[in-house]
Amino acid sequence: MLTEATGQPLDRVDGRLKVMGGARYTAEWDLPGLAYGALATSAIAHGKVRTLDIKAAQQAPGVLAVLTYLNAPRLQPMPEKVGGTLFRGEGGITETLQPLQDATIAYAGQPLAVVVADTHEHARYAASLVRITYDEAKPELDRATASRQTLPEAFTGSKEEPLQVTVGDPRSALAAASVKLERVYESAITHHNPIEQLATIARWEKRNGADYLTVYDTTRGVDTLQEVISASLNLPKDNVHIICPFIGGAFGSKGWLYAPALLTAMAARVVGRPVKIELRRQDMFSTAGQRGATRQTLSLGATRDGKLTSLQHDTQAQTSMVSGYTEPCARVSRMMYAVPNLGFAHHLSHLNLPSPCPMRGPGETVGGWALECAIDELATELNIDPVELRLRNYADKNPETGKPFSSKHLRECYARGQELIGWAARNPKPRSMREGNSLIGYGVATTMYPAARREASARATIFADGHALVQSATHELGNGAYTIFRQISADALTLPVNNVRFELGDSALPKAPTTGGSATTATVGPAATAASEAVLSALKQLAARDAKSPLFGASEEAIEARDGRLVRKANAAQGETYAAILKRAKLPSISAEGTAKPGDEREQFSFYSFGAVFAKVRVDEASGSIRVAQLCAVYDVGRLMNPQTARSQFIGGMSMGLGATLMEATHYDARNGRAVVRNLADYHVPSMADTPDILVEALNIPDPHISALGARGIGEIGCVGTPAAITNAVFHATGQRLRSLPLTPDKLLKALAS
Amino acid sequence: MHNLVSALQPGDTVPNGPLPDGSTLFERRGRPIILAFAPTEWDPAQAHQSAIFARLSQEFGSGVAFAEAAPEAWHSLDYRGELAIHLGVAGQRALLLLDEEGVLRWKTVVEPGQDIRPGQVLAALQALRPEPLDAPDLAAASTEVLTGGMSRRTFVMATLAAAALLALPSVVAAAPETALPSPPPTDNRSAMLPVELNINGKSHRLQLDPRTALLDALRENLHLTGTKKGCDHGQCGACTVHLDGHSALSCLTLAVMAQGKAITTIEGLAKGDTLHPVQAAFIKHDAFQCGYCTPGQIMSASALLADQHTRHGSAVEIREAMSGNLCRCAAYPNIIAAIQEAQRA
Amino acid sequence: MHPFQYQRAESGDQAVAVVAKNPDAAFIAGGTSQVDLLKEGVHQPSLLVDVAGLPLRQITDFEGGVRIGANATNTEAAYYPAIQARYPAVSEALLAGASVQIRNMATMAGNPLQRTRCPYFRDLDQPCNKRTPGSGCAAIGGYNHVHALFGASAACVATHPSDLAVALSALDARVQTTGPRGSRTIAFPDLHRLPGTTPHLDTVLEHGELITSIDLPAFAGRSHYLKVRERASYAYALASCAVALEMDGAKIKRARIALGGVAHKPWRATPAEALLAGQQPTEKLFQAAAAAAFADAKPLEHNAYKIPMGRNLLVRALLETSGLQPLQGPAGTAFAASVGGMAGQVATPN
Ligand SMILES: Cc1cc2nc3c(=O)[nH]c(=O)nc-3n(C[C@H](O)[C@H](O)[C@H](O)COP(=O)(O)OP(=O)(O)OC[C@H]3O[C@@H](n4cnc5c(N)ncnc54)[C@H](O)[C@@H]3O)c2cc1C
Ligand code: SF4
Ligand code: FES
Ligand code: FES
Repeated sequence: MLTEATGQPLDRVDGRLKVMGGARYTAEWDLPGLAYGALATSAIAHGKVRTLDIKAAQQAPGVLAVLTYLNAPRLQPMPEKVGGTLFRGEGGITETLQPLQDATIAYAGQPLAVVVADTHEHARYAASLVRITYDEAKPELDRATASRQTLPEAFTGSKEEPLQVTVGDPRSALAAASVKLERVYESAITHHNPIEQLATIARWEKRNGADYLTVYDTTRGVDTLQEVISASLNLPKDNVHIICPFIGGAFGSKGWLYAPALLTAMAARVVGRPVKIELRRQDMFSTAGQRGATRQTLSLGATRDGKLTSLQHDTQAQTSMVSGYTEPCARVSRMMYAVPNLGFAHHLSHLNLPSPCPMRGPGETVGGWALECAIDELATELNIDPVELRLRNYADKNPETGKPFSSKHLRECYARGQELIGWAARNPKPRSMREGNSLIGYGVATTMYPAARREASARATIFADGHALVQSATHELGNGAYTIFRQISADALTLPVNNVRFELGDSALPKAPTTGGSATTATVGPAATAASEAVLSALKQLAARDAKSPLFGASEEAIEARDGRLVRKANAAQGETYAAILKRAKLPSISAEGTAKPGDEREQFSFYSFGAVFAKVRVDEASGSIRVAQLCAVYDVGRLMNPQTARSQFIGGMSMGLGATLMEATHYDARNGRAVVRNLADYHVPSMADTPDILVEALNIPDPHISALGARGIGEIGCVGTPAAITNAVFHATGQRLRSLPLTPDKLLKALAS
Repeated sequence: MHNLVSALQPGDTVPNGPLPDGSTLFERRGRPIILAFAPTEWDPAQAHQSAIFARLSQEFGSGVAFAEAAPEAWHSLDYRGELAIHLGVAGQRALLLLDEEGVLRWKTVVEPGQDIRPGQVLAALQALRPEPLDAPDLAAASTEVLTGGMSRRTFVMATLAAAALLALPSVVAAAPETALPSPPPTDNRSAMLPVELNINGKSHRLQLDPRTALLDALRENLHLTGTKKGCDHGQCGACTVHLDGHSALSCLTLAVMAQGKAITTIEGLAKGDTLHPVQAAFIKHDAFQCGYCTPGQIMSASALLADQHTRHGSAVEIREAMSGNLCRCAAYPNIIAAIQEAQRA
Repeated sequence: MHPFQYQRAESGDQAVAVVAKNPDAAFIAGGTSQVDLLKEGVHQPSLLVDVAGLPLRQITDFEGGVRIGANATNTEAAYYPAIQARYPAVSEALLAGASVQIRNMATMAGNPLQRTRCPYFRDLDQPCNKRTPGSGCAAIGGYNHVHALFGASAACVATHPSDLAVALSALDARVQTTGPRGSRTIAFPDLHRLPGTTPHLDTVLEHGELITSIDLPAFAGRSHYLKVRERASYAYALASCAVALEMDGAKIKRARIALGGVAHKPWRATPAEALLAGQQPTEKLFQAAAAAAFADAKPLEHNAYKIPMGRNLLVRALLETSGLQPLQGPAGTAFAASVGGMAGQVATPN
């Protein structure tokens, strides 16, 4: 019997391509006749275009066309919903502004013209020649005074994610509590900044007399993009083909904002040649999505011995004028602790800033930070060990819905994490530990991630030479999709991993949802299994009908697949290889599709991953510099499909959380709403020098309810929890509570001075 | 030169015409067919062409590797002959792929002085690839359909055609690495300059806008896309190459200024199929996720290990020395482990 | 990028002649600053004269000091044994700047001539007197987090971003140039200007004046550089400081202090220098010196943090240079300069 591939630390199957520079990312498709597009964007944040002078640009060398709202192809409005996800309205996920349709300006950096030229250099230069004048209106840039403020009902329209909830009576319970704590936490605007910039190549052609559009795009939602483009351009869906075999990182971007892709398609249509638009890094700060800033108020009521009696988490979120996206900050608060009176609310202010969208751990990363800092503050207040306080409020069922958790082993996470970091050696007194110039601090936070699962399909094909191919329109963005789905498929087909390929990133493949929400493994894994089982079932029927087969006449149930053969369950010696069956039937291959979706287990259980994160920091008080010496985390995420790629995901998430904690912030000019930070020299993402020693363990206990694979997702949980662990460690080191992310030296110095 | 027929676009039905063996295009319907017009003979059975075919199928996948070739469908045609004239490609190297219904699925005309580039062919192939299946059922699957709407045979033919194009000796010999012909200089300041670059031991002559950064010359003109663009302003390290053996940023290097220097890119690091120790260690230690920063990381790491000042650095020294290569996936701990492994090797 | 013609300089004199007679011409050496600003559209020369190939790359011992050719790379200078041993502040400033790749490309003349990191300077849609004289200054009243405490004007509050320049200023390096009006020597502290009403001029160099070398004069004391940044590496300084101390027995004979990240040029803290001369080094003295150095600081809305930061930094730099406290890493390396060290259990090599 083959050992199962799933659960093995298989090296990435796309590794060789990636280390040799052979993996082809979007901007790298070389289409004959390719032309280059460049954007001219709005200098103001609010108002209208008064004049657009494109003459100089048109006359510049190599220019093929200049598109503006005056001459660009017309687009249909952004759909109301795509694939069940709310697009428009309060709580909707996407920017609804369709590019180049009118003169209105909702934010600075909004594309106002596309210049297409024969070379990259010509296009960029000509774009700089577009002259725009404006009728400027005063931009709204302040959350508190914004004229459009709303209370969105639900995140992305999902009935599972109401944004305004009250369980019990948190206000009265707070008033009655013997210990009360009310704190305000603020977080800055941050940007995903994947190293691969957004890019699209679009090509139009006639197929059978009809318009046919091929789009290479840095998208983690080939099917969603296909729907958006076909709806916007009024094309049949089958005439839009989206291709993206490799994504250079997304982290929440590259999924929900469509202007760059639509602009490229429009430009290609106008010039009658394939066009490529690669955003500049500067443009990524206005057209690629962001995490909006938040202001969160946490009100905790507790007994003297640390039992929470009331928890209220209110968020002031912000979005653009053309999106209803709301950072769902209470995602952790609503489920983490056993508290009888629980409430949360989300206020949304519409500003003249670029549109936000999900960013790794949407809601959880900054909302969980606020909650877990508040819990730490309560621990200090009550003089209880922060881990102990969390254990005293351990929830065995979801406090909002009352449903039991499908699988929860958080106690083990706390216990093991304490060992890893050496919690026992921590002097609980703040400001009590030192090494050289540095103050030392230890901090802890709980982390979680909702274990979502959606519907997906896959197709499996077995070839007459015994190899197999499994395909699904999912994505490889560093999550290891090529690798783990090959492992899962190989097991389902009982073939060695090397005999199975997995393909993705193409809208022509069986449907899969946008890759996000840490749901891909739990979603596409079962689909790959279902497709594999379907093709095996077809093969069984084929063999059973074939008089020459040793399986002739057997019922499907009496046959099983084993090591690349179909055999009789009763007598494994009676059987033959897949190849033999196909060859005799003169079939080059056989294939079948399978679909998998969650069932009513979702009604019975509450599905979450859990973890405990511990941080050790060094603080140089004189300069306000904070360095993380060590991060330790123990996760309970169900069964690991591949411990090696899983570890990488954890580490990557934790580092991104570290960045959000210590250095990441995008500033917009408070007067005119232009991004002041708009490059990677001013926007600091963690470098190798900022990355601590990281110890990660996963309990690897299968979730009995999520799917037969027992795997929950792992993409985002690392990002959640880390910010609070570090912030709490900084408090332990310095005795200062910093309640505004990121914890840059200026803020620490200010706190220390007061 | 451009008659009506030359306006044939993929998706159009090709009008009838005579083939050299006396048959006609219409008679040939029912099988995909490749029409290859060239000054010299194209032969997919040639060893060097099949080697490229194998590489392509590896890179392109989709089960191509498991399909057998069908040389009967291959028609080598005189590029000045009757059919070439009839189809409007007379005197040009051209390749047309017709599916079993006689519909043009792919057309490539190689303009004089132009070179066929692997990426271009791959992209064309990719575009030909699966079309949505309306009713995927076993019956269809078990006959011809392999990757979608296009029949397996047509697709195999396309791959073969691509292989042949890539291996076309006359193309390679006639027009070394030059890119598209330069447009007429309307502004003398942006007039093209002849630029000679020595990349991975090979000399490339290009006509470039003086504004062209080495990074863009590599990616856009030479289609050496292993070197990545992450910021275009020196702020991420994704575009790291070696100039005379030292790591450098190709986005901040004007291509004209890189003349006379030995340029090494990620494509030139491995020795054939043997990976550089840093490349091998990156795979072993899972030192990347999305892979986009990876070529830059590897170029920096390999230069670091060749430099006497940094070669023996400890983990903290590696942290500092590698800080110019941002990895948003934050594979950093694994990159450190990979570099340490290569240090030991 | 605006179109330009490109020319390789044949000789220093030819380069000077070509640039001097074309007001739109500019030099390019390593290109790391020039190409960045060309791409941003901030620089729009019509002619680029490439001086990188000129034979100005040697580093030699010279009059008891060291002469560094204009084209020597930042990496070459940083690791040059006499510099690393006798002028560690220079190596520390270089190695704590930018990244390996950039240092391999950047030249010793280009580095001090890089332009401000004021974010408004690079955004063509914002007013900026430095980029477009007369257009106004967006940083005043804007997000002025990285801006100046000293010597700013109503026209410009930018800071100079070079680390190297701060070390060179403290060491009173000399800049050798050849220009349209012949050759001259410029004392490094005089190279950069204050913004005044002409913030578009960063330095006293004339158009077409070419730096040929940077000379470090003979120096028998100790020097040291410290830098604070928001990221542990690969980031510009929020504040920095270079100290050159010459001792006379147990007393300070002469102290020179240059502060980085606080002014339009490396800011010599003359009041502090005066206060230290002839004194016995103590922490208390250093605190007084730091207080004196920042006494005249004029913070803007978002940069007041630089005052305590700069003061603390200067105290530490003096303590470490005088030997009252150990360096945070080996002298002449990035680790000695990097305040806070690297992340991880081991912050610095030992
Ligand atoms: C992402 C990034 C991070 C950085 N971080 C830092 C940092 O932390 N600390 C730091 O100090 N620097 C930093 N730098 C700046 C870098 O050090 C400078 O760009 C570099 O030193 C400039 O040198 P160059 O040779 O490339 O100059 P070039 O770009 O070639 O030229 C710069 C200027 O000098 C002029 N010039 C060049 N040579 C001469 C000459 N011989 N005579 C007269 N004029 C001349 C040019 O005309 C031009 O105006 C960073 C740069 C980048 C892109
Ligand atoms: S501070 Fe100087 S560089 Fe910055 S905007 Fe004002 S004038 Fe321009
Ligand atoms: S692309 Fe060159 S450093 Fe980012
Ligand atoms: S592997 Fe994705 S950015 Fe490094």
